[in-house]
Order: sequence, then C-alpha cells, then structure tokens
Amino acid sequence: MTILGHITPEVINIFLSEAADLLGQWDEACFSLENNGDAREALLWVSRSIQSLRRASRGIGLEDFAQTLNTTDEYLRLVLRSGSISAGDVSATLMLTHNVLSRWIVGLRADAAYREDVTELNDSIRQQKASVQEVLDEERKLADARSVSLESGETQEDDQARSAARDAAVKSLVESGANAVLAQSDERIQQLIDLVARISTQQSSVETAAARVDIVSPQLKRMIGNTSRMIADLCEAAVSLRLVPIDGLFERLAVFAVESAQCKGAAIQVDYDGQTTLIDKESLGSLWEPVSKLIRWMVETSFESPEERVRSGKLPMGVLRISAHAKNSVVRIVLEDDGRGQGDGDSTPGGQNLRSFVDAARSMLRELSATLSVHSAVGRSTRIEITVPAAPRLIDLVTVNCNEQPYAIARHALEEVIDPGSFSTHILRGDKQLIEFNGKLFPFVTLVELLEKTPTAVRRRVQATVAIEKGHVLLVRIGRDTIAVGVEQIVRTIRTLVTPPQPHLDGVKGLSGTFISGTGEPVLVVDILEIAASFIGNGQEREVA
Amino acid sequence: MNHSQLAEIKATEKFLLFRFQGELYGTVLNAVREVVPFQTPRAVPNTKKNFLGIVNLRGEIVSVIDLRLWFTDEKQNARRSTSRALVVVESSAGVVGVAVDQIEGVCQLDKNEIESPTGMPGEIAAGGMVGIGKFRQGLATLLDLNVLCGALVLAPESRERLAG
Repeated sequence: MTILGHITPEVINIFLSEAADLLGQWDEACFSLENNGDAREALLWVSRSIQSLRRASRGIGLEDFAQTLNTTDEYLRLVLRSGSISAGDVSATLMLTHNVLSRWIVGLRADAAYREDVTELNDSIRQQKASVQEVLDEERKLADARSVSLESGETQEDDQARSAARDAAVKSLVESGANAVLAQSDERIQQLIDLVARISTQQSSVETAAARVDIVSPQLKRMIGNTSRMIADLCEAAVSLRLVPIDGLFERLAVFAVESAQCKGAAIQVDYDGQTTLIDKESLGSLWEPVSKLIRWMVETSFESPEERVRSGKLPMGVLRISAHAKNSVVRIVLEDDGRGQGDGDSTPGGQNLRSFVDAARSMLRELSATLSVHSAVGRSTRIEITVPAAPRLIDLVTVNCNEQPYAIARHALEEVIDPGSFSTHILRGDKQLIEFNGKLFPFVTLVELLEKTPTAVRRRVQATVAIEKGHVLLVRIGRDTIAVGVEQIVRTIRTLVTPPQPHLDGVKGLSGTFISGTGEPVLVVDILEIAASFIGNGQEREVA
Repeated sequence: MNHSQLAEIKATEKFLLFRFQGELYGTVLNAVREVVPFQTPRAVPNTKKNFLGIVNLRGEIVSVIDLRLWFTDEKQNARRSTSRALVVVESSAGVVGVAVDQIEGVCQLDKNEIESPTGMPGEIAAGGMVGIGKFRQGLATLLDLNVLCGALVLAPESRERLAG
C-alpha cells in the first residue's frame, strides 16, 4: 500500500469520503443495468464518475488506484461505442472493479487512521517531554533556593517537605503519561481480541470440517490439534492484556450498600471475598449499573429493620457478602444477603418486585454476554450469581440442534452435559418428566418447550421426549435448583465472538446474542438461565419435588 | 405515513418498484440500502408472526420480515415463501430485509403524480403508507419501509426505548 507521506490526513479523508460516496452510487447503476438491458444512461454516469475519481486519485499520487479506474473506463467506452450492451458482463465487471476499489479504500482508511494515531501519540510524547522539562527547571530553581535558604537558617524539615511535594508532582506526571498511553492502547487491544476471536471461530470450523471427512491423515489431525491449542493460548494471552482487579468495584458497591442502608435506617455489614480476582476492564466498567441495581433491591427490600431481625432470631445487623472468583475463562460474582428474601409475587413499596429488578439487570448484562441467576428463600436469604466471560462477548459456546435448528448456549451456564444412555427417564402424571443421573432426580424439560411456549411446541415436546433417550441432556443450575434440558444433539463446543441482539431482537425473551458460524449460518445464542428460570417460576419443579 | 411524510418527497423522486402477492408497491430508492436474492431465514423463537427470522448478509445479521400479515393478516400463509428478493433497509429497528415476490425496477415519478392517502383507514395511513403512485406499469402503493419495519419488527419496549 502506498503511504501518502506528503498529503495531509484531512485531504486523504476528503478523497476517501468522496470515493466511498461514488462507489455507493455504483450499486444503483449496476442495479439499473441488471434490470434494464439498454441502461446507457447508467453506464455514462459510471464512466463520468470513474473519470472524476481518476483525476482526484492522480491528484494525490494514487497512481495504481487511477490505473485500475482507467482500465475499467476503457472497457466501458468500448461497450458504449459498440452499441450492444451485454448487461450481465458489464454489471459483473463493474462489481469486480467496485470490490477492488472498496478494498483499496478500506486499506487507505486504515493507513490514514494509523497516521493520525501516530501524530497524536507524537504530540502526547512532546507534551510529556515539555512537562518533564518544566519539572527539571523547577527542581533547578528549588536547588538554588535551598542553597540560599540553608544559608539563611531554614530547617531541614522544610527542605524535605518541598522534596516530597516535588516527588509527588513527578509521580503524578508519570502516572498521567502512563494513563494516556493505556487509553490509546485499548482500541488496539480490542482489535487484537476481535481478530483472535475470528481466528478461533475459523479454527473451530476447520476442526468440524476435518471431523466430517472420513479419511484424515494422523499427521493432519495432530497439526489441527496443535493449532487449536496454540490459538487457545493466544486467546488467553490476548484477553489477559485487559484484565484488572475487581477490588475497585467491590469498594464502591460496599460504600453504596452501607449508605443506602443508612438512608433506610438500617445497618448492614459488607464482607468481601476474592477482590483480587481479575476481570476485563470493559466488563468492570459495565458491571456497576446492573450490580448496584441488584444491591439496591437487597438493601431496600430484603434487609429487615434491626427489631424485625431480632424477632426472627437473627443478629440485628444484616450481612451482605460480595465475592468473586475466576475459573475456566469466566468470572463468577456472587451477592448474598441474610435478609427476608422475596417470593415472585411480592413487591417493594415502589411496586417493583425482585423479578423486575432481575429482568432490568439481565438486560444490562446482555451486552457483556453475562448470565444471571437468582435464588431467594423467603425469610432466610437471597443469592444472586452473575457469570461474566473473561473477555466481553468472547465466550465458549456449546452448539446444539433443537427442532432441526442450531442454537448455542454459553458453556459457563451449564452444570454438566450428559451423554445419551447415561440417564434414565421417569414419566409422572400430566406429562411431567424426571431424569435420573448419578442417583439424583432432576425435573426435565426440552429446549423446544423452553423456547416456544405454544401448543405446537408442547406437541413437539411429546414427540421429542419419545426420542429423548437418544439425545443429550444439559444440567442447568438456577440458584439452588437444577433442571435437566433435553436437546436433540450436541454439535460441538466453540469459542467465538458473540454479537449482542440487534435492536429489533432486544425484547425477545431468552436470546442473548447471535454469531455467524464457520459455514456462514447465523446462530442464535440462548440465555438458558433466563428461560429456565421462567420454567422454575411456573412452579413446575416444586410440583415435581 | 401521512401528509407530512409525503411532503418530504422531492419534486422528482426515484422509486424501487416491487411486486407482492401480484400487487405493485414502491418505496423511495434512497431509503433502500440494497436488494439481494432471497435467503431462507433462520427462525427466531418468541417473535411476531411476520418476523421470518435472521440471515447472514456478508457477515452482518439482518432481520427478515414478511409484509403479508401487514396487508392481509393471513396468519396461515405467513410462512409460505414465494419471495425471491430481499429489499434491505436501514430502519430505526436496525438493518431489516423485507421479503418481496419480485423486483420490477427503478422508476422516476413526479410528486404531482402521487395521490396522498386521504380517505384510507387511519391505521393504514399511519402504518407506513405514503400514497398511491401512477407509474407506467400501473398504480403502485408507495410505502415508507423504515416506518413499516419499525412498526412490524420491534417489541413494544424496544420501540419505546428507541423513541426515547
């Protein structure tokens, strides 16, 4: 790529913006051409736009770019002179040129952005150097003054105080400089993580394709395995670049909880655990709002007054425990109180119940592909567990087939994946089912039934349960309850970058995002905890128990 | 759509014409991002009947909607696919593909050849209809796909959020 050293970034940006506009209008011309065999007007328009672009690109020294345009223009003139237009061929040629130019524009934009970044960084370095020079000048002046003051009988303590102030000033400058560099690096680190996620997705597709081929040489298998491991390491390394300790969030939450309780006339004690747990910097910033919302519910509704607590046989001061720990590329944050808890139907004086707080928090957490589960025992306690991926949106997913369609579920939301034949089923009255696994019984529901609460889905459930012994079962833990969810087939496990739901899918229950699989198909990521919680909320597990 | 939206149309405007259930419809060409061949969408549970699903459009997830229910409310036919093209628009609800049966082409029309939707039932007039255009192919119902997609796709809470 040509580096346009002698042209200012502003001029390049103007050129790129105009070029992108013209290319955008090409689409229109190509469309006319495809639908109208004699689209001479469209061709003339394209030819004129090519000439204008060619002149502009020569003006800023983009000879290769201009040459590509020239070739296409000559071809168009030939077509126009010949009189007979083969719409398909011309359209294909135009689209080809369009694609080549679009790629150029993307490259040039990146180049221009890089040059702007470098200029900004150099400015920042110059400013820092100037600041350091100021400090050194100041120090020189102080040294001169000290020699004068010592001569005039000033004490050594005064001198030490001035020295400490100077050190603090230098430290502050160094820190501000370090922060400036970090702020510039954030975007680059995100680009690296995105790229690694795409490589990881691609690698999963290669693995799947290789698994489908009957004869794969052992050497190729080994190479694929090694590449997968290296990509997993690369992923970990890329993600770790943005990890910061969670303690800052914990401290803010504790202050918030204690102050909120004081406003309400209650007294609570906050206990921490795992404040050195590392979490992604972006996730940390996004956690405050949903977590503080949940703590507000605990303080305003769950904690009783000291008198009421004593009457219930509890200590007068309530305890809020906040803990975090990291495992398998996810961070689990647990909020637990020893308050009165809340049933589904109970409300706060403001009219909001636990479910509405949880729904609001869950919606905020969706951006991070985080999941949330709640267990509230009336009269005893409430436990809220939030699971956040190590890097926002880069998560390990289990892809499953359900109703002949692929879905994905976050691996961290599953307790266990049970293979066919490792469990037995028991049917109760009214179509309710249980499965028995490792000597324990779990209420059973199919993923189809959880996803689509329609009569058709229920019919499908009956059909599905007939064949469920041939399928897999996923154990999902909601608070202290565990349910078994039946799927037709586990396809594979994949680490990929999940896109949050588009605005039009935002209100869809149970959908936490989408991603595009290696085969190009869009796949829905299901928030299994949300839809399973509604199953629990229906009281089915209690009925079974 | 209403009179004020009709007023936004320029004196001479290009329209993309398409057929849907045999009838001719049009939309302002500038509002259309692109037209692509129809792809079978991936169904999304718990969505409205006219939401056919999502497709991958060059790495971008695009929602696909069916206009059939907006016009006829024939729920039985909602999933029957006679669609051959997707008209892709960037609506307030994100990028949306509208499934149509056939693309007729691009035609230019003077504003005075557009009849305002006066006399239409209020719901239709407010739901994305600009008016009736007189083209050489015949009369076409002119739609504002941006408004229509927003109304058809979004859940009420998302609509409120975007409006807010």
